[in-house]
Amino acid sequence: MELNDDNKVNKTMTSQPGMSDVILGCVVPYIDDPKDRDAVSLVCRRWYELDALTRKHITIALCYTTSPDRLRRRFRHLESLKLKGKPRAAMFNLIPEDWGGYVTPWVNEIAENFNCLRSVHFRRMIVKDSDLEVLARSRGKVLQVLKLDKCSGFSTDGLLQVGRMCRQLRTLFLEESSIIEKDGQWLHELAVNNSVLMTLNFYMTDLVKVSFEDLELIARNCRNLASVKISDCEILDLVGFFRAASVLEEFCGGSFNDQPERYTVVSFPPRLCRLGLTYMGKNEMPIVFPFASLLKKLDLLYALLDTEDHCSLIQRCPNLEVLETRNVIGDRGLEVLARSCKRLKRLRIERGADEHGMEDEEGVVSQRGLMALAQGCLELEYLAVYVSDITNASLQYIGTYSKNLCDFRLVLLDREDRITDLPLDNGVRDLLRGCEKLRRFALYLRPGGLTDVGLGYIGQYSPKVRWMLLGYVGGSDAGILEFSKGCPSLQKLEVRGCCFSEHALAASVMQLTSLRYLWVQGYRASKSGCDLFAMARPFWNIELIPARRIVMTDHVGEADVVEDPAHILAYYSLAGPRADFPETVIPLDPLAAGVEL
Amino acid sequence: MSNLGQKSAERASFVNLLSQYLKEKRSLGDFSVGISSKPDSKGQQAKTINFLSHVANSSESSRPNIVASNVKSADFFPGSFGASCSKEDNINKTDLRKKPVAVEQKNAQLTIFFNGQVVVYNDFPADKVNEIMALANQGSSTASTGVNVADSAMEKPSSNADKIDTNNTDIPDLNVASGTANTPDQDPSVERRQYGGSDLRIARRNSLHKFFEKRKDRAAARAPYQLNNNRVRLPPPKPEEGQSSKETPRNIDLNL
Repeated sequence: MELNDDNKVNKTMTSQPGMSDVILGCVVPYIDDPKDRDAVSLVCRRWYELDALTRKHITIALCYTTSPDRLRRRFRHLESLKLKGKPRAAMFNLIPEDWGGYVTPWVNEIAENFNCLRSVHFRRMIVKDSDLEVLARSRGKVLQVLKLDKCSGFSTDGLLQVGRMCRQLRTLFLEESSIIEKDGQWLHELAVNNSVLMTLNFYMTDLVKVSFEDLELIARNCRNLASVKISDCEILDLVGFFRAASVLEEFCGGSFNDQPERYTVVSFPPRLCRLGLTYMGKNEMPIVFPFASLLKKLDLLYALLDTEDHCSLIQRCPNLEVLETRNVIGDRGLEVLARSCKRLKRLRIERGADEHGMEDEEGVVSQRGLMALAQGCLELEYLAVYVSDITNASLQYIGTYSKNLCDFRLVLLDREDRITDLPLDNGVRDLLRGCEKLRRFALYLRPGGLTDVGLGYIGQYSPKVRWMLLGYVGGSDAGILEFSKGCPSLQKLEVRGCCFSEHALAASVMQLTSLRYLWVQGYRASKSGCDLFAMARPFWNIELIPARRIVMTDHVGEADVVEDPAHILAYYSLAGPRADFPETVIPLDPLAAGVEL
Repeated sequence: MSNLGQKSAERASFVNLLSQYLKEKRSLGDFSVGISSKPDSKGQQAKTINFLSHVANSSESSRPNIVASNVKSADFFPGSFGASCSKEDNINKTDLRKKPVAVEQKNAQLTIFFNGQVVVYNDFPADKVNEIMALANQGSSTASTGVNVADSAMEKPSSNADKIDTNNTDIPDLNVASGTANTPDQDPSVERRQYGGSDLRIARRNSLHKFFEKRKDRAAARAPYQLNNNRVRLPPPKPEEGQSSKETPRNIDLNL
């Protein structure tokens, strides 16, 4: 698969009679879908080269599956790159911070060779200030999009370099990154140097030293500013900002620290249709009412509303397409949603706090809410929900009504001892059979939640599903073995808290024809840890994070010891095993162990 | 994969011996762990006790590789590897729940885990081990007798050992168990506990976790009698009765 740059466009076509270079060259750039591109590149060498020259964007789902060098050799003219590092479980604090996913080798390659690169997106990776400086210095003049998405390892000093040297940035995205804050200078640099910014996002970061005056300056200078998501900043201080940001469509963040009646002076920009106000309570909520009917997206994850408040607000939003909230919405809120928001496409219901008294007593979601939702919101494409109770019937409803569903994720909370209707075998089967467009599927239950038969159904009835998370499903090895006979499209599998043995997991991997990535935590280990070698094969990296005991001390000094069972991570790689393992990660090297492949 | 069987048996024994060695080291209180402190942005200290760093430091291999065949076993096991191997396999088969036993021939040291305590015997005659195992196997009545016998010769368990909770869910092992490594597969009554992650809580998203912490802080800060929390920008102090009573309903309110 070595791409020889000498085989350039001027060669006459001999392998494809009837289709000239010119026509091909005109058509191929219009093909954007990665799977289509993949197919194009496999036709013949000529088509492979043309794809390599014209591919605009690459997503590398795990940075260790290939190397910067290989990327450069094949896609030298890349305009946009997305790289992902740590396993998804890192978002739940399950992965050691120093696990890996360093951007440095990639940044260095970008700096030197990727001359067309305008958009860089690093997700769950470790970024250093020096990396940001290298990137800013080398690509600053052309860089339009920089996304440091759930990254860590850098400080506001690195951002300062970005603000200073990347004056063409349309998008600066820092959401949920862990950033060491030294000052708010970086935002000031951005404000004075940039006039083309469209998207600014430092939502869910702990940056508090930013000044609202700089935000206002950005709003004044950047006439195309459409989306701003910030950390905690008093809303009353943003009145000037809102006045200046005349084309703003999306705003999230802020904070309400003052008396509710003072907020009547806040006037939001006229085109605002995507909103999420942090710490917004019942008494501040009315400031949204004047334009609630325009709202397409509502983020209530970090608001302080109870079930009644949800009902009151949601019924005023008939054009809502995206809603994110916690389970305080309750079944009643879901019923209101089903009645009022016929255009709803995406719904995410997160889990509330565990402590008593912190959330509404009515704040539980169950089969009742799900059934109403399925019947009312027929355009639903994405549903992720933490439920306290569930039945087969409600899942069947989803299979019957939610014909547009592409992404379904259900977590059964562990607070209630008795669940109305378990196991969910038939409901899951009917949901999968009904939702024919399903690409992503997550089911997180408890022992007894899904039998081996049910697990077999999942394998049988998920032809297009590419990603799955399975938690506490099945009852024995037979389950996962039956499951793995199906799932023909499954590329990425995450398994947690299941009873499967190493041997069964390894055998399943060998049966899943499309699998390229596996993550497991909580499984039945063999005495030697060697049963995993049943899945040893060329290009397949196997890594272990052995069980750890983590001592967490919170900010009031209380210590909590958390047991963290072992993880298995396995993935296809063209780059061989990693060279940057921390102490907490151990490679399983079949060659060293003398395993014949 | 024809060599696999033979080699895996060797590896299995080696890894078992290694893990027993670690347990012994722990019980003796001679237990140096690599504790790395990683404060996150909120100042929380997450200390990872990495049991394997001990192994990594002891061995000469540059990388802690679970099945590294070139780790110098002589460093850990002065006794002959082959001999201990077979005896080890034998003993492991008769392991009881809650009572895994480590045997080290050369040091003649016996470690017994029982009921949350770790007991170490130095200079324990190797031939007596099978006797003890047989006694323990016979059930609770004779087991208690067995323990009493051991009591008289008992060395005080180290203080570190007391802290070790042998409740199956924790002792991280080179076998990279999910916390149930000490539970033998054969015992059906522990099948449910062996459910891979019985100790796995539903994990919470970092972003929400931070939000809930901040919400608690805000609730604490708004209570009139609390100290100022400089994380939250408070409204200017309001000494009037009327104002503070407006604050307190907020605290009681479940909306917090």
